[in-house]
Amino acid sequence: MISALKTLTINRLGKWLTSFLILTAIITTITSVILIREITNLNTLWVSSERHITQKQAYLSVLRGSIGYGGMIHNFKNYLIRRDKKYLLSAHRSVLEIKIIFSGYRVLGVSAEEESAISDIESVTREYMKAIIRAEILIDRNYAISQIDEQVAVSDAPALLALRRLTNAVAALRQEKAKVVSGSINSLTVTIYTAAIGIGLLLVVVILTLAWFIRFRLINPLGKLVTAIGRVNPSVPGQLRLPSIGRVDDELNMVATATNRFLDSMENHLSKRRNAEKALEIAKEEAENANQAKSEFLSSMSHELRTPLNAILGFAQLMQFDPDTPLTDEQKDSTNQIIKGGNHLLELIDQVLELAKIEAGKMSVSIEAVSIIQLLDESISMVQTMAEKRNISINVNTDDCPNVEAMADYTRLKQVLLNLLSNAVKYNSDGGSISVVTKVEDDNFCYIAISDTGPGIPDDKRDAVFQPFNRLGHESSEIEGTGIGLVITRKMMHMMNGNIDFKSEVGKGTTFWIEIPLAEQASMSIPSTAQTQDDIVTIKSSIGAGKKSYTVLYVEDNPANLMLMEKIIERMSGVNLISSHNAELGLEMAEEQKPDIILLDINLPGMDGYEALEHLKINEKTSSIPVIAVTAQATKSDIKKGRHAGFVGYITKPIQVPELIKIIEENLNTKA
Amino acid sequence: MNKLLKTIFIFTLSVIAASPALSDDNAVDLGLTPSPVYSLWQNINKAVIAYAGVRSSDKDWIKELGNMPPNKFHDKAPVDVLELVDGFRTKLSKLDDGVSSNTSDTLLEDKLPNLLSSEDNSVTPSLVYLHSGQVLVNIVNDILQASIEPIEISYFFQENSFIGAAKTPSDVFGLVDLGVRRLEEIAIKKKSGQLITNQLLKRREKAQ
Repeated sequence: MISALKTLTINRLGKWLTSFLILTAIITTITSVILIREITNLNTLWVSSERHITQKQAYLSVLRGSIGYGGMIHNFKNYLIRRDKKYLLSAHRSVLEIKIIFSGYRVLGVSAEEESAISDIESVTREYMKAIIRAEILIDRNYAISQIDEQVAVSDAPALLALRRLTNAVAALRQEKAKVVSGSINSLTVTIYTAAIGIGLLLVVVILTLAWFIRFRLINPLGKLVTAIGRVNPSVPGQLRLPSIGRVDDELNMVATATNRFLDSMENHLSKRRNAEKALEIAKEEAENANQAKSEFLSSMSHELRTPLNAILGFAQLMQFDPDTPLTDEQKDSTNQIIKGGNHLLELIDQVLELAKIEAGKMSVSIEAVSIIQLLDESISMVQTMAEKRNISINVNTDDCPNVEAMADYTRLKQVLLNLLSNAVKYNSDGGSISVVTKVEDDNFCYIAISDTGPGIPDDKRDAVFQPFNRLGHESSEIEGTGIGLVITRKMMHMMNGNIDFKSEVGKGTTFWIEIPLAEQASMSIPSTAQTQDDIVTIKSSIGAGKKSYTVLYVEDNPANLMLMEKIIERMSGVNLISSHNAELGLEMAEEQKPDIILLDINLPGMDGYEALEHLKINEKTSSIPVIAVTAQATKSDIKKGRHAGFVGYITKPIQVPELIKIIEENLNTKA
Repeated sequence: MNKLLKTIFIFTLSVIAASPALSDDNAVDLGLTPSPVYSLWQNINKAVIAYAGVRSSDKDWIKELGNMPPNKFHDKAPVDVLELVDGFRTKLSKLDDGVSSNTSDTLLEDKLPNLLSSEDNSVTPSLVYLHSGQVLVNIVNDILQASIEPIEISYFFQENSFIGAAKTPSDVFGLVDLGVRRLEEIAIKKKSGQLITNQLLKRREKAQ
């Protein structure tokens, strides 16, 4: 039994319980039916018994009347006395009734005592019957009463005695029946008690079994299961499993097994996920490496493009500011255009590089209040020559918003305007016109529209306007362009919280407009980098006034840049330039000749500028010499790095000649 | 499970309902068989002859009346017998001009009214006996009233013994039928004016 309980499953317990309950119900039902039948029988017995006794008592009562007064004996005696056959008939009638009564009495069942009494009464009745017949004969024959009395005398005593015995017998019968019923009731009570105790015990056994099962086979294993589930740790492969609980066919064990299957599946999934995460991490690392490579590439590109630009712009500036051979006005305009174009090219290089930064999410803007009128003037002047060549007029109308300032990045917004203006020139018809209109919208935005009279943009190409490297069919035309200008423009406008859009009508022209948030009205201060010729002359004069000779060492591997520097230094009286094409030689020259200033390129073959700076700082002979970086590494991070390394100045290529002269002069004056 | 419980419940109810109900048999059964009834009707038929004898002086007719044989009947039940007994009583009452007591009276009726009442109207030999006994008393009473000469009435109350098997309701029916036929003959006689009426008897009584 115990072992059967220990191996009991929920399913089997359910079946057992059902069987137990059905059994209990059947036993209860049968017991109830038996008890009800017993009670019914008892009741029947009692009612029947009572009815019989009542009937017997009624018979006895009638019998007394039929025998005694008004009955057989009484009528017989009346007949003897009065000789009226009416009494005789009544006597016979009473005899008939006595006969019927005894017959009915016997139907109810009689005891020996009763039967004995009845027999005695019947015997007396028969005696009377004989006496009646005899008396009738005698009376009909007119016998004297005394003679008749002698012949028909019958004693009443036996009948009356028997009647009393019968009455007593009925009373005794009632007592006996009452005893029997009482006994039956007692027996029934015992049966009810026994049945109740039996059913109660059965239920107790069932409840105890159920309680035992729930405690030891359900709650305890469930507790273990819950604890085991609580210990499951997906990050620890060994702890991703539940222990076996109970027997194999135990439901909770099945739950554990099913859970283990789920956990296996989960572990498999987690394993795949870990692998995927690892792959993602590798991919991320690769992407970061690629990004780093891209950054290095961009830095390298910047350097490589700036180096030749340095020569172009540098020599143009030298031509422009040469006091010995002043330029004609036409030459000045040309050099101005070279410098402007070079500077624009420089900006474009920066912007192309920054497009890459935009794509990489690395571009930043410096939002400040900028003058729209000034930006337009500068931008228009840059495209003016190009427009004049094609006889295109530029009409500017800023009447609606004079002296308006917008919140924008100065360089970016200028680039935007320049791009839109140059496009208006490039894609215009010869002899056409450009209209520039500004106005304020909703008191919050500055609206600038640039319209041309070109061929216009068909509707079917509208969506391609802001797609990169899509020139709307002008790829093979003479019009130069990269097809990224509008892409950059739109991205920049968005970064400056502005917007750009256009409308076009084929054959009539196109209008591009931008919207840029307005700045609070305030005086604008745009730092101007433009240097005047007078500034340069002043610098040159200040150096020459000292009458002392200075030596500048320039370490540069690019011959064009070296030549440019020679030309610049030549303009500075009292300053001698010595140079080296690599760092190693430069260090030797610095140690031997102890120059007053060292101009050091960073990107050098062999030892780079940073390493050379370290050597210069370590060497006692050279540690006091100010070192100025002159480099094409022009990013903000490059400049920051250079300052941190110990360069006293950081000049980026293409160099601005006045800026270079100024910083050299400052350091030489410090020496002096 | 619910279905099972329902089945058990219905089963229980069925078992309880099937338990024996209290017997409520109130039929009048005094333990009398057709045999004593038969004996009673033998005496009644004797009384009918005597009845004719006290009302007619036609000895041949009375002899014929006495020689009338009972008819044979089959498959008669106590209820058929009782119906015929009541018919007999009606005829007797008409014959004696209402001298005999109420046609529906029975023996013991006034003494055991509750005991003799039958709720289901079932007819037993005992009930037939009660009615027949009253018929015997009534007709003997008529005889007593009609007879001028003393007549021994105890003769009509003697018990008769039978030969052979116990009597059946059909046997009793035959005797009752015989009594009815005899009464019909008497009634015919009465109609023909050959029977001494009660009025005549009363005049005779007064004359004496």
